[in-house]
Amino acid sequence: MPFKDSRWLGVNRREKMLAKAKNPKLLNAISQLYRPNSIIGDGSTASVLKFERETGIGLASHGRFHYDKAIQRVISLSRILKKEKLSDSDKKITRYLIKKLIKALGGNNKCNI
Amino acid sequence: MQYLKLYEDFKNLFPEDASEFKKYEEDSLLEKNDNLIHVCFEDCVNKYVFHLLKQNCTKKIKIAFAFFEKMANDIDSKVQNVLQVAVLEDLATHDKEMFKKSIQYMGPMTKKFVNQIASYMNIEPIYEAYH
Repeated sequence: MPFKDSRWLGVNRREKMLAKAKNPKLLNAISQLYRPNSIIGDGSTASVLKFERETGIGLASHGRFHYDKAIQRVISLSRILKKEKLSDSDKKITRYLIKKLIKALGGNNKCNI
Repeated sequence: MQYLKLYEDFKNLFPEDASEFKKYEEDSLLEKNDNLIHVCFEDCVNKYVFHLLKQNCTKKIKIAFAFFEKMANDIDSKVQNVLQVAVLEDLATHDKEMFKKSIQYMGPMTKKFVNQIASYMNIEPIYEAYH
C-alpha cells in the first residue's frame, strides 16, 4: 500500500449504496463510483480523490489523479438527475453522490443541486 | 493518440459492432461527440470488452488489448489516466474470473498499470510483470 496511515482505511459502502438505489442508470453510476476492492474511505472515487488531494500521493499515477473521472461523473450524474424519472429516494442518492464528488474536487459542497 | 478522440478511435476498430456501442451510449445518456471520455470508457468500452471476454471472441479481444497497450505507452498522461482509472480499475475488480482470463491478452505495460492498481486496491499483482 502506498500509505501507512490507517485513518484513510475504511469500510467499502458499495453494496449498501447499490441496495438503496433503484434506477438502472444510477445503479451503473454507483457501480463505477464504488469499486468493490477499494479500501480507502468508503471505497468511492470521492474518497480516493480526497486522499490524493490531501496527501499529494497519486494513486492514479498518471495524469491528474482521479480528477477527470470525478468531474465527468458529476456531469453524468447531473444528466441522470435531469433526464431520468427518479424516485425521491434515487434523487436524494444522486444529489448525495454529486455533492460528495464536488466536495472531493475542492468545490463548495453546499451548491444548490 | 488524441485524448478527445480515444473513444471514437476504439469504436472504429469494430465498425461491425456500431449498434452495440450505440446501445451502451443510450443506456449511459451519452451525447454525440461527448467529451466525457472516462464515462465513455467505463460505460461503453468496458461493457463491450466484458462481452467479448464472456463470448471468447479472441480476435477482437486481442485488438482491444493491443489498443490498451498503446494507451499505456502513450506520452499523454491523460490517455494513460483513462486506461488506469476507467478501464483497468474496473476490469481488475469487476469479476475475478474475467480478470484472470484477460491477463493473457495484456501487454507488458498494461500489466504494470494493473500492478499500480494492486498497490491501492485489494487485488493480487501480476507477478510476471516484474520479470
